[in-house]
Formats: sequence, C-alpha cells, structure tokens
Amino acid sequence: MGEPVSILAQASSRAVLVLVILFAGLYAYAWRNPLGADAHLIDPGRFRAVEVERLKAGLPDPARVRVRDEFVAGSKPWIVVCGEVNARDDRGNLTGFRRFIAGPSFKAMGGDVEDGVMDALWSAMCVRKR
Amino acid sequence: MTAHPTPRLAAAPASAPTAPEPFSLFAGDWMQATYAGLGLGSHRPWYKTTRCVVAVLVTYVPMAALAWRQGLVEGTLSPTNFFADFAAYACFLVGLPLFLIAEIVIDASTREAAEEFMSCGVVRPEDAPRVLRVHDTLRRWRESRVPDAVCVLLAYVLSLAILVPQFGHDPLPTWHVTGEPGSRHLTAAGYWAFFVALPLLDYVWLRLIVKTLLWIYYLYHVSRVRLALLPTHPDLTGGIGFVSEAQGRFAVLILAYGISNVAAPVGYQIAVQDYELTAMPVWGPIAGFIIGAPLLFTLPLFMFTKQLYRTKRRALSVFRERAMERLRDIEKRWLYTEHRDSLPEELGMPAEQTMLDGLYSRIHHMRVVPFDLRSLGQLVGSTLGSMATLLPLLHSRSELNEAVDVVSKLLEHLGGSH
Repeated sequence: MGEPVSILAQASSRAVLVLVILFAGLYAYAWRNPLGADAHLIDPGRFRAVEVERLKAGLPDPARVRVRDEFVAGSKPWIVVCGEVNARDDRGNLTGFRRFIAGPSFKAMGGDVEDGVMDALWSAMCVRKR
Repeated sequence: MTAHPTPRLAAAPASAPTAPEPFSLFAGDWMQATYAGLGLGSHRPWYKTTRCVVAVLVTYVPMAALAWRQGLVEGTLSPTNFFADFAAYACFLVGLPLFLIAEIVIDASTREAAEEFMSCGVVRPEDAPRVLRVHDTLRRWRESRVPDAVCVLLAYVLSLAILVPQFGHDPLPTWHVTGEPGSRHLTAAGYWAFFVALPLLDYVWLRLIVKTLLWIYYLYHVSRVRLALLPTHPDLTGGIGFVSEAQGRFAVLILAYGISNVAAPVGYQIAVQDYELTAMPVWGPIAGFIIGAPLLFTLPLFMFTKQLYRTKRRALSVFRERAMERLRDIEKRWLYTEHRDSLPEELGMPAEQTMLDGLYSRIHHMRVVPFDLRSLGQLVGSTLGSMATLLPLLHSRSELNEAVDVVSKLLEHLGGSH
C-alpha cells in the first residue's frame, strides 16, 4: 500500500507544481498586459441607463418623465433602447405612455412619427432583445 | 468509516464471498486517491475543512489575483468587473465547498442505508450473495478510471461551451474575454477560469452525478431481490424507511447544484447581462431545476413500489381473514353469551382487540413508496432554498412582483380548472 500512496503523492506534487507555474506565467502576462475599460463592447445595463437619461434630457421637465418596460434591442451598429415614455408636451400636459426607440444617433417616439412608421421601426429595431 | 460484515451476513450460504465487499460509492476512487496523495485523505473534520479551503485556493483566489493584476476591477456593477461577478462568488466560494461537503454526507448516508438492508434482515440471508455481487460491481466502477476520465472530458466540454460564444460576432463584455470581435482573446483570469477553475467545479459535480447514478443502480438491484418486508413496521414503509432518510441527504447536493449551476448563472444574466425574468435562458433553468431536482431523487424509490404494494395487499388480505376469526370469537364470548365470570384467557381479549386495531392501522397506512414527508421536505426545501438566493436580486429589479403575478395566475388557473 505504501508504494501506490507515494506514487499518488508524487503525481499530486507534480500537479501542484504545474498549477504554480501556470499561475506564475499568467500573473506575468497580466502584469505586462493591463486592460482598460472594454469600451468597444456594449454593456446592456450601462447602455440602457445612458440612453434613457439622454432621452429624458431631451424632453420638457426631465425630472417628471416616466419610462417603463424599456429594454435594449438590436445588434451593432443598430443597438437601441425600446420602451414606453410618459412626458409633458409643450403645453405642460402629460401625453400618456407612448412607445419610443432611442439610440446614440437615433430617436423616435409615438405621436412624433406616424403610427404606421412607428410600427415598422418597432418591428425592425425592437424585436431582437439583447 | 468501514462497513463490517454483519451477523446475518456471517450466516450467508457458503457461495458468498469469503470477505464481503462493503458498500461504498466513494472509497478508493480517483478523487479519494488524490486527497490521499495531497495528505488530505483523513476523515477528520479538520481535513474535510482543509479540502474546502484548498478548493477555494485553487479556483477563486488565483482568478481574483489575476483579475486584480490585469485591472479587471471597477467601482461599478459591470460585466468587466471581476469582483462584481457574484456568480463566481456563488460557484467557487459557496457551491464548490458545498459539493465537497455533499460528498461526505452522501457517503455516510448511503453506507448506512446499505448496511441497514443487510443487518436488519430486509435482504434475506440467501439473497445476500446477490447484493454483495452488486457491491463488488460498484467497487469496480468506482475504482475504474473511465467514469473520472469521462467527467473530466465533459467538464472541459461544458467549460468550452460557455467560452466559445464569447468569441462570436456580437459578444457581450465580460471579464473572461476582451478585445474587438475578430481579435478577442482571453484575459489572464479567463485562462484560469476556463482551463482550471470551471473544469474543476464541473468535474466535482459531474462526479457526484455519477455517484448518484451508481446509487440508483444499487437501489435497482436491491429492489429486484425478494425483500423481507414487514407490513406492520412502525416506519410505515415495511422496514425500509431508512432509504427515505438516505435520499433526503442528497438535499445538500441539490442545494450546491442549485446555487452554483442555476441561481448563479441566472442571477448573472439578470443583474449583469440585463436579461428579463421572462427570457427563456432565465426562467427555463429555474423551472427545469425546481421540477427535475426533487424528482431525480424521488423517482428511484418507486422501484420498491411493486414489492411494497404486494406486501401491503397480502398483509391486508391475511389480516382481514384472521381478524374476522378472532373478532367472531370475541363477539361470541362477550356479546352473545349469558353473563358469567370471565375466564383468565378471556380477560386478555380486549387487549388483543386493541392490538389488532393498531396492526390494522399500520398496515392500512403503510406507504407503497419508501418516502416520507420529512425527506421530501428536505429535497424540495433545498431546491427552493437555492433559488431563494435570487429573490433579493429580483426584488431590486422590481421583477419579483412579476414573478409573483405569474405564480398567482398559474395557481388561479389550476384552482379554476377543478
């Protein structure tokens, strides 16, 4: 029984040694290749927050704007936030919830564009949720 | 802990092996041999704790060190922040140690149950050699390197199945992989995660699944032996209620699996990848786990149903026949004969009647599946308990109300259909 145990102990020692060498190599690699924020990829949570804030900022009385059921949809380069927004119009009246599509270089809201156009945009841009 | 041959086994026929193979799902297998090689083979609590610590030191700690060194640390909840990945915490700091604890619990409970089968006479002496041959088969399987090799292979396949999509054309940002589509590469922590930590975690739970299958194999063969069941046994399952207790101990495995393989990835999808509760990759694993996990450990016990049902039916039939004879006798003496002083043997009749009532009650209430509510509660509790770790997350995302609405509607629908 002593011999198999010593063989196992040897094998285990080798495995530990391999892991230590692997870790040392990766640590050196990490040291030489530090990473910044991965700005090229879309983080859906952050993207949604930024676009909703941008949408609110573009509407009258941004603090009272209500957004609901918003989600990120589409794929690069057409990634947008779709949802519903309730904001005040130029006369200060609430418009009621209406659909919106917002992206870095694009914005469309129900009421501002015709229903048929909004439907077409919605089905083209908001179907593929991320 | 070693199972010793019991007195009943000593009485087994000469065809039985001279040194009966004790039951075990784990003794002498590859992992146990590795523990021994690392000097952690002892069954003392200190060594068991050390195994858990070593597992964390091999998996989570190097990833954290590499992530920190490479700058995958931010102050926000983002997918590129390693320390915001609570799925990694759940998998490697909670799930992995729980799997190692589950091994200890399952090993002890299955050994005890297997010993009970032999020592309490449920397996008749003449059938003992047949069961011992199953022990021998189990020994060959657990000492074979094939299941372990398959588990290691599958562990790497599962690890790669998570990794490969991250090199797709429209990837989400993570701390595992970085760079633009087309030129993406693993981070240092990603290398450790996909080539060391995740395969090790997957191997540990896949190995426990293999052990569970071996246990089911054992139960299948024992259920095929003509068992000496006692329909009046107080455990109300003919004397094999200990199987229920053994099955209940698998709750630790369910809890570990639920936390590391269901709640953690689903939570990550909701909190970091911004998935909704209604998305299939979110609710699918939850629903499958809640239904499948308790069933996996309950269904094998139905293999005993045929024998239990027959025993119960036979016992009820014999009982009715005998009870009618005795009751006729008692009624005749106590109701339909003129009053006279009781004979000494007649004084015991009411007590006999009470005993008959008790026996009937036990036979009548005997279950045809060797499973009790306590063990079922353990399995269901650990299933739901592991999913409950998602509740704070759902609450913070206001999706808890949505989940409650869905469940309420389902219950209303079910209630309305009756």
